[in-house]
Amino acid sequence: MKTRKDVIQLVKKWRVAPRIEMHKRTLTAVLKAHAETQKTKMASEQPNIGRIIMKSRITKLAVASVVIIIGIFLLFGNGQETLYAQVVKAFEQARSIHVVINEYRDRHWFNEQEIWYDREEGIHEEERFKDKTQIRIDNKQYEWRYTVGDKLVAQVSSYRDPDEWAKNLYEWLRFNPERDPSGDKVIDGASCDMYALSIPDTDEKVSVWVNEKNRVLEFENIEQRSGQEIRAVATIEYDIEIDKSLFLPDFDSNVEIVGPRELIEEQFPLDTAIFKRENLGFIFAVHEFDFGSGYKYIVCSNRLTEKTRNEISNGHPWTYYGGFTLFARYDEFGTIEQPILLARMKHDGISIAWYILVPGGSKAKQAAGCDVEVRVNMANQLEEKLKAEGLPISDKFRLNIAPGESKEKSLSLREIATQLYSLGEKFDPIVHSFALTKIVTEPDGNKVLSWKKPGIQMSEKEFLKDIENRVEYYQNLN
Amino acid sequence: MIEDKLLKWKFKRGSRKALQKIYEKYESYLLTLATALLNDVNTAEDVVHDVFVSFAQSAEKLRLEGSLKAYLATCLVNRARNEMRVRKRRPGVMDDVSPPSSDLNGPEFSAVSKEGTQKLSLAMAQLPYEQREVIMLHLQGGMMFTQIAKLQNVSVNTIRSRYRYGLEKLRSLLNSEVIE
Repeated sequence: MKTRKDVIQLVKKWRVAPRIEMHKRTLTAVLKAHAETQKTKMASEQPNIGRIIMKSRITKLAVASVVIIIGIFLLFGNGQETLYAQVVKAFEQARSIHVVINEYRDRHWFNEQEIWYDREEGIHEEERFKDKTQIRIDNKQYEWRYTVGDKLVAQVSSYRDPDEWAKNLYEWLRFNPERDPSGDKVIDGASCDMYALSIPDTDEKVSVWVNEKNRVLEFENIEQRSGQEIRAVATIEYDIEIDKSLFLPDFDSNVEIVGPRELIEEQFPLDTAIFKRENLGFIFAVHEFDFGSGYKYIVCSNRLTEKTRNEISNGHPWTYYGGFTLFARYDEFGTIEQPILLARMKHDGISIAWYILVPGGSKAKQAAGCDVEVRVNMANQLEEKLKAEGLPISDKFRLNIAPGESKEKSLSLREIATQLYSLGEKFDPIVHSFALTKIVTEPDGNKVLSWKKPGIQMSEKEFLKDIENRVEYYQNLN
Repeated sequence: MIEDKLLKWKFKRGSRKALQKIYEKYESYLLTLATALLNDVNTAEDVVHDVFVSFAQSAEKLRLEGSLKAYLATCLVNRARNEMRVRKRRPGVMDDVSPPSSDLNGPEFSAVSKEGTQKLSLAMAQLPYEQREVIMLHLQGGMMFTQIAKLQNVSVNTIRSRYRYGLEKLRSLLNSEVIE
């Protein structure tokens, strides 16, 4: 529970770090505006200087070259983007690429990711987490996502251009890396120039090696994570022969191919919901409301209405149209119920969240049923649409469910953790994102909410322990 | 603040380097202020961009006395108010709250989200505009209530009340676990 002093400290320390592009764009505009002001000032104060300079042929050439440089600067943003353009052009000549990403941490190298891209066939991507491998195949018609060994495979229509996606590999080159000859090296018999980039306000460093054909052969990324230096190296091979079967949906006969959205709709149907509210293109619903010992468990969702979906959805699983949060309601006696977020799932305009409601402190009142505030905030295309129609872009309401309206199952924290964990294992990586929550302490001592992949980044035992700690914290709070 | 005085002096004499230094020194502060006031990072970036561009053109008019930080904050607040006025003129907009999107929105969400600051930004978005302005200028900008009262053209007592109520509401909101 934050005190007034904590809030003051939090506001004082709050900093929004500028994005690199914003920083550069504004700085360029600021310096340009300044230069123009100075030029005008000079022209009005000392009209002869310009004429004197322009009389000299050499100076004229120098002025011309400055104009050309400024022209290039304006055309490409900066000189280094030319390198990006050249690299992308070189990539466009390639028939195929093969990328291997290894990461060095805890004194070992780990093979994290491998990508095969064939201009004709599509993309096959493998991501490895300890003992699990998640695969994504995009053959330009469909995309399949699954975990090796699982019984469910998600199939959706291909929603991104693999060529464009592959180009994203070179995005770093947009950020003005500097040529650093001291790092030049030979890779697979080809001498490569090194370019280096430091990310402002972070310890992150990126190095890129480009051969004489403007092909990037290696990337290296060094960053600090939880006080440890993590080194990731990506090597890229071009025009290699790739086994075509990598792009085929060749699954075992016992595997079930499912549509992720249909699967979510089936698991969280609106027609059996305990509570529903349709407003501003979204339907908010409560699917489950159960009691435990000193806490309640609630499962809520919001999703685009069919009408809105037809109007604005682009079918991309990751497109975010808005989300919702449960808030505690306050009165003169303090918090009535404190919502603790356990997990959240998002996919193509549907968001599901699992919460536990506990009294916000040992002296707080507890409602007989559910009594919280819900806020729904719209984003991206939905926000634009509502703005264009002159409608509000957020919805706020009191969610008051009487005890009798629920099924009144009694669930223990262990049962909740198990149920959620197995759901997570089922839905990840089928849906765009499924994440469990965990409170972690960062090296600077700050406690932050961390999002974890079930079965990969957090065990069921850890998840249960974290839920128990959080519930206990609120129950004992004075 | 001797450094600021020196920077202002150099900037007035046409130093490009001084301007760049001022920009780098106050960019993040102004962006934080704008984000808090406007609840929208993109608009905040545009406002910060405009403030600095017009600052770059104003070397002539800039006075050497007074705090550079407060001067930039005042420029930003005026622009943010204009932006809010434009928003209010749009018919039917009742609650223009558009918090920055969460880390889970990207194609591959990051393992750790900086929940504290994200929550603060979202909680700030729920406060009335005047309360947000007082809290940010006082706590982030270090401006005194009397200075803010002059800027908002109201009494110091009103500013104190706005600060107190705003802070209390912020505390209530922040004690919720996650805000989306």
